Amino acid sequence: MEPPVNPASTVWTAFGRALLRFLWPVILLAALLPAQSVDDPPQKIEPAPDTSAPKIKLPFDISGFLAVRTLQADDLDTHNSYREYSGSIFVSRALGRWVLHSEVNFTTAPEYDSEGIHLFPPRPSLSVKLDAATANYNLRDWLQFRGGWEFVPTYWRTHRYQSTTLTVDEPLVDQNVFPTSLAGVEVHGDKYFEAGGISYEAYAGSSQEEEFDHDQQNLYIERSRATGGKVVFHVPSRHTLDTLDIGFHVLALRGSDGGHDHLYGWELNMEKGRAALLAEFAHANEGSPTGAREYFRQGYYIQPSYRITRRLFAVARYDWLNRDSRFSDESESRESLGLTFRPTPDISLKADLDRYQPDRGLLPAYYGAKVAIVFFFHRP
Amino acid sequence: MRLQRWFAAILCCLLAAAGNASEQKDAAFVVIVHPSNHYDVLSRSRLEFLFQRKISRWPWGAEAQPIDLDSASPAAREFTRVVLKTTEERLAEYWIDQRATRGVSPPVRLSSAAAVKAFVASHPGAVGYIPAADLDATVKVMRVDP
Repeated sequence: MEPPVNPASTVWTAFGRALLRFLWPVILLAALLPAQSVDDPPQKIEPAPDTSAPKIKLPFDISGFLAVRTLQADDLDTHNSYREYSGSIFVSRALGRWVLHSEVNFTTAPEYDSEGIHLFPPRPSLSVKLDAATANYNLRDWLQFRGGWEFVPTYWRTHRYQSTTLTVDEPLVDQNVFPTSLAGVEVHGDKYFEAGGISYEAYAGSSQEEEFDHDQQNLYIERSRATGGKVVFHVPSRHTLDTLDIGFHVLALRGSDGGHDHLYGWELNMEKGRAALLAEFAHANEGSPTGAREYFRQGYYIQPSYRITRRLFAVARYDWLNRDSRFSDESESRESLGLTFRPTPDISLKADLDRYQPDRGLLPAYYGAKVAIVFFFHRP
Repeated sequence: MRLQRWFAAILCCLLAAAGNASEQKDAAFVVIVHPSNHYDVLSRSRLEFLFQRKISRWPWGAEAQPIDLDSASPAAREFTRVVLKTTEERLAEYWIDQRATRGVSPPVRLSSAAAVKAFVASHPGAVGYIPAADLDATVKVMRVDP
C-alpha cells in the first residue's frame, strides 16, 4: 500500500522544480554581479549616445521582447508541463506630427492569443501575427487621429506585454469579455493640467475575436461592427498618491448574426511610493437580433503589488470570471501570488503560484505554478 | 588645549560642509531652452510631462524636443529625482512600456553639457538641462516653479 501523498507537498515540490529550472540564470547572475546595496548609486541604464561619434542610424526605432513561460499544469497532480515561447518586435517611426507603430508577434501557443492578423497560415504550435499597425496624427495633444489595426483599449490589453506586467499569466477577464482587436479609426487625446488630467478615446471599426477548437484543431474568427469609447481621469490627489487613474469604457457590438452586444467596464490604477493597486471590471450583455438580452459575461481582477527592493517586486491577484451566465460551470476564480526580479529593467524573471476555484466552489480547488523569463531589447 | 580641540572640530565641520556644497554645486542643474522660447517660467509638472513625452508641442506649435544628459551625470540624477520625481529604474520601466504601447521613444541622451547646449541653441522647441556651472548666453534659462 502506498503512503498517502500530501497534495500541498506535491505542489511545492513541483513549484520548486519549476523555479530551479528557470531561475538558474538569476543564481548565475547573482554570483557574477558584484554585491550591491540598496543605497549604491544606480547603474547606468542607457548608454549615452555620443553625437560626435559616427554610428549607424536606423530609419526606424526597433524594440521588442522575447519571453519563455512555463506552466506546471493546471492540476499539478497530473505533472503536465506546458511551455510557451513568444516574442514581439515593435517598429516605430515619428515623422513630424505622424507616428507609425507596428507590432509583429510570434507565439508557440496560438490558442491563448486571440488578437492580430496571421502573417502565415496558423499552425497548432506556432502563429506569427501582425498584432498592431497604426498611423497616428497629432493635431493637438488633446486631438489626435489614429487608424489601422490595434487593440481594443482595455487596460490589460494595452499594457499586456511580458516585459511590462508583473505576473506570468494574464487575468481571466482578459480576452474573455471584451474583444481584443479592432480594425478601424479613432479620435483620442490627452489634456494635462498643473495637477491631473484627462485622456479619451472614441473608436469605430470591425472587432475580432478568435477561438481555438482544441478537438478540431481549428481556429474560429468572429467579427463584429464595433463602436466604443473610453475616458480616463488622472485624478489629482494633492500629493497623497503618486498616481490615481480611473477609467470607464463602453462598447457596442453588432455581430454577423445581427445580435447586439453591449459591454462596459472600468479600471483603477493607483500608486503610492513602492505600493501599487490595479483593478479592472468588465461586463458584456450578449443580445439577440431582437435586442433581448440572452446572457452575460462578467469578470474582474484586483492586483496589489509592492516593490520590495529596487529590483524585486511582490504581487498578488484575485481573479474572477463568469464566461456564460446560463451555466454554473462557466464560473471560475483564481488567487495568485508571485515574485518578479528585474536585475536590470530589460530583464524580468517571474514566478507565480496559483490556486484555482472552478464552478463556484462546487468542484475541488487545484493549484498551478508558472515561471517566465523575459528579455526586452531596443535599437534606436 | 580644549580650545584647540574645539577649533579642530569646527574646522572639520566647515570642511565637510564645503565638500557637501561643492557636490551640490556639481549636481545642481538649470533648465535651458532656445532663446526664442516664449516662456520664462514653467511648472515642475509641465516639465515632467514634456520629458515623459505626454506633451508633444509648445502652445505656439513648435515641436517639443526634450534632451537628457548622460544618466551617469550628477545633474541627470538630480533632474530625475527633483523634476521627474522618480528613479532611473522606474524611468527605464516607463520607457519600456511607452515603446511597446505607443511607439514613443525616450528623449535623446547627450553625453556632455556642451552637446546639450549646442542642440538647444539650434532647435527652437528644444528643452534640456545642464549643470549650472556650464551655463552661457547661447541658451535661455527657464525658471522652474515647484
